[in-house]
Amino acid sequence: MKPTTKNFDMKSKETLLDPQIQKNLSGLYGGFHTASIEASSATADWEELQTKGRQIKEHVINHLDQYLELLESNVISSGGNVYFAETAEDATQYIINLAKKKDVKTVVKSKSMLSEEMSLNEELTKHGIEPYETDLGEYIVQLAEETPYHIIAPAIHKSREEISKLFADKIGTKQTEDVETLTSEARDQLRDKFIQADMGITGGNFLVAETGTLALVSNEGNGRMCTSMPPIHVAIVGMEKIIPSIEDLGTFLRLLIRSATGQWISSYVTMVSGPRKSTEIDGPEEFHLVIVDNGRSKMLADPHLREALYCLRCGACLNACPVYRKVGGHSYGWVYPGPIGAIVSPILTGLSDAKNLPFASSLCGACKEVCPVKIDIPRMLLYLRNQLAEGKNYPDQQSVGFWERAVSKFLSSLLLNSKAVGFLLRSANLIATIAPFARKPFPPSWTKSRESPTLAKKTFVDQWASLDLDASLRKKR
Amino acid sequence: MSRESFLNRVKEALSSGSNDETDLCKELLINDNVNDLIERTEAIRYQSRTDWMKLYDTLTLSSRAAGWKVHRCDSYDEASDYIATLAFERNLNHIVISDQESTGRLNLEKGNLPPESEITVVKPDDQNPSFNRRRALDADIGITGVDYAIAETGTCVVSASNEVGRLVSLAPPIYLAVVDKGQVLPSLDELFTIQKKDFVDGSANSYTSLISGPSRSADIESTLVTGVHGPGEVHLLLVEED
Amino acid sequence: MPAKVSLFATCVLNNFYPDVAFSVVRVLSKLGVDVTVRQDQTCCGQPFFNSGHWNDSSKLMRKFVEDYSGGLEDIVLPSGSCTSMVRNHYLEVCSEDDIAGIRDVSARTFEFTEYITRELGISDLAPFQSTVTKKINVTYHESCHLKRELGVSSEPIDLLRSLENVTLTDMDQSEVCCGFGGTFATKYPEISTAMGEEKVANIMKSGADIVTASDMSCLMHIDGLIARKNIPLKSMHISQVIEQSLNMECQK
Repeated sequence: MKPTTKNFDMKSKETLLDPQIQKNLSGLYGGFHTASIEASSATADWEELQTKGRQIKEHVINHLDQYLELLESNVISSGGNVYFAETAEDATQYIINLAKKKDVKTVVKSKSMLSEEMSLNEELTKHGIEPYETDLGEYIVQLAEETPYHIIAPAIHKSREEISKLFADKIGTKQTEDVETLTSEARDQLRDKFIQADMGITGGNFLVAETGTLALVSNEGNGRMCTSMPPIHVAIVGMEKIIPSIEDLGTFLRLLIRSATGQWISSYVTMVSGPRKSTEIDGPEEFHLVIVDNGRSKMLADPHLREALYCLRCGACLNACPVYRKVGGHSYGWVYPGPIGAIVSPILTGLSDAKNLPFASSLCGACKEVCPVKIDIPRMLLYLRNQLAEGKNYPDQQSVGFWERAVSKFLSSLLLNSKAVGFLLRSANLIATIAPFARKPFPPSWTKSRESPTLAKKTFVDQWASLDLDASLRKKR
Repeated sequence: MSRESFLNRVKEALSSGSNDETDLCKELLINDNVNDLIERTEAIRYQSRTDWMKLYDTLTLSSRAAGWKVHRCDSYDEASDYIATLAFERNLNHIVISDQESTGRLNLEKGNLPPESEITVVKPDDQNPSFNRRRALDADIGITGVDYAIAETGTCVVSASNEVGRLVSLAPPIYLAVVDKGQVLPSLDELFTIQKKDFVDGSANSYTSLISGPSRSADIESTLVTGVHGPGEVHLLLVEED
Repeated sequence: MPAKVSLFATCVLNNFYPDVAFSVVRVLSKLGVDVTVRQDQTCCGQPFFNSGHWNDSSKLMRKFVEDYSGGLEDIVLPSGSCTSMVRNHYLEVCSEDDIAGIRDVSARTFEFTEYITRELGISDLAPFQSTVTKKINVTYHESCHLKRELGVSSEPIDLLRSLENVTLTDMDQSEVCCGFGGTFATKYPEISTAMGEEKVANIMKSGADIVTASDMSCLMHIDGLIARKNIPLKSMHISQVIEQSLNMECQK
């Protein structure tokens, strides 16, 4: 997906003015966010689970090379193929080559954010292969020729009226605003695609190194369909999704699912270890696992950002984020929106182009509070801000302007001297006798929608110095 | 080519961060004490058999919460009656059923079912493999037994195998799972311990589904809908017969 | 021997809200604390830190640490955000040489309500109320850094609840950010304002007449919105609510 991270300002302002999207986004607080808080509080040992999950992730990521090789050997011994793709293009090419070799005409896909990094649908179409998204939300987004709005709720921005019109235009169904009818229209359309498809492409939530197992979490059953019906199953998974042991899966399923939707468990968890066995009744004859880097090694290489690779892609930080709930998913301009996206997108697509993202946060910390593996997102946002301002570790990405840096330098030096501060305040008050606005010093960006606070006549420390303490204060004790 | 440079890049990236030298293999399958795993698995199975009543109680609650219609049956005859009643009430003409021990104990004779109903037992040795698929896609209900059920989450664990096709529990609009006494595990953790043992001794299946309620989606205006690509209605029979 | 604290008023109170700083002093005095004020205090450096200018921030960090290190008194800040800067973030902008000083100072640095409840051990203010003053209907906005970076959440609420004249009314989404966020408020004024308007709507929905918080910067933001729209709501820093309830006159 071509990043448009540069357009954050424009896109976010547009979104703020769209009443339908604002309504849908504000529903996230009482919806997913509240549900996930309730589910985690209902889990007796939630904090221990979080700590355990984080420790395991930390361990795997710190030994990623070894785990990748272990995973590879176990997938191969279960009869699957493994391909290591350094870039999105590399991964796409592997899939297209495979599809051509096997004469694949139709592909069914279950949800994969990584495939958005690859612009996979676009590429497949270019090569005459028809891709069908089968997750209901993804299907809607694909028909609308858009990109997902949310990691786990791709079409959260659309109203039922829009979806009804979209279905009528693109698949010729009758207009209806009944959600069940719309869903069953999609089901019927896609059931045929499942039957036709020559290849199923899925993402993956976890890769178990010691068994070579791919774990897929879903609610609709499209993940099961994609791994049951077509003769070839290709899974594309980011290299950070590894967990060591199958015994860790209980911990991670609870953390992921309860944080994502607030469900106690999702309708389906599918565990795939290679292709079907010869005696099995059905299932794909080939299994290909494509493990993708596509810039993740940059996060791995920077100790300040490494913990971004612990992310389970549950989307809880989006739901918790008051900024995401205003600006929505498309403003962030790339595959991953919200707080975690504001870290991942700049690193995977270029920091200076995405320089708005780390600053577009009030640093309230709600993201860190809900993260199932306690990723310190605010710390990394601050780190990226620092890199943009001072460029210590990313010199070529330094992109905060000269004037801002000069003002910062001047003000911080001024603030070293309290007398100078007091003097400035008195001067402002003096000026205010002829120009009253001098006591309302906030810039237009503030005062456009808010009153500026009023400067005091004298600073607190100056007032304090001129007080007769014994007379006026201490007697009050 | 790609593989080497991929792994080298990861190694390079790691060397610029902190890297403690834990002995990985200690925690991994290959070096695991197999006897210990077998002992743990046996203990879990023993507990499932002895605590079956308590586990059924918990499972009843958790699976109802997950969206199953739960029915406790004294016997396989009662389970068969439940299915027959359902078939009459809902006009279930096409029934697909897996070829397992538990489903084999059901008594689904033509005489008990609506006269027009057809039962297909899905078996691997059919002449025409696409026949099973067609039957599953056309069926009104799919019936399988389970490997395990999980009391914590209201989950049925169903592995694909020579006895159970992947589509029986997925393609029909109604799914019914039959749980046998002693098949209930307390939580997900026990399941994964058993699965680890299965991987060690080579008895693991290539495909396992954890099924917890109906297929569902809230992708349109966060409105919950059941029955998207999988069954919208799911029944769970907990059989208490020995 | 009375407890001794040095009040660091923060740049917001020093320049815009000196009255609030005096309320803090008077409440602490009433609770038996000896308050001193350093004349040379200015800013903790947080605005520069949050904007990415860590070198500039570190100059103010060094000033704060030099000003207060080696002392025995506790340092009280009427702001969760600035307190968190000292306790949590100074270590990120410092060099090796600063660490010992930061540890010394940050171990003695407390937010105002945190200091009262955890250091003085006072959660019930009723005994300090001589006469019950006029009833007031108050709702409390939880400031982000106080709650999430310092873990102080129930403490200020306990203080408010203990006041016999205060009716504390629940606010929906009281823990959601007001949209201030330091320089965020001017870098992304539209987003910041939208967040603030939602906060104001929730305050109004609570039915309270007064909104209070432990951080004056949140209230500055909320106040800016309600003043622009002439909304009949009053904002008071928690120290002002306490002071008024303890029936102490305001004085200049």
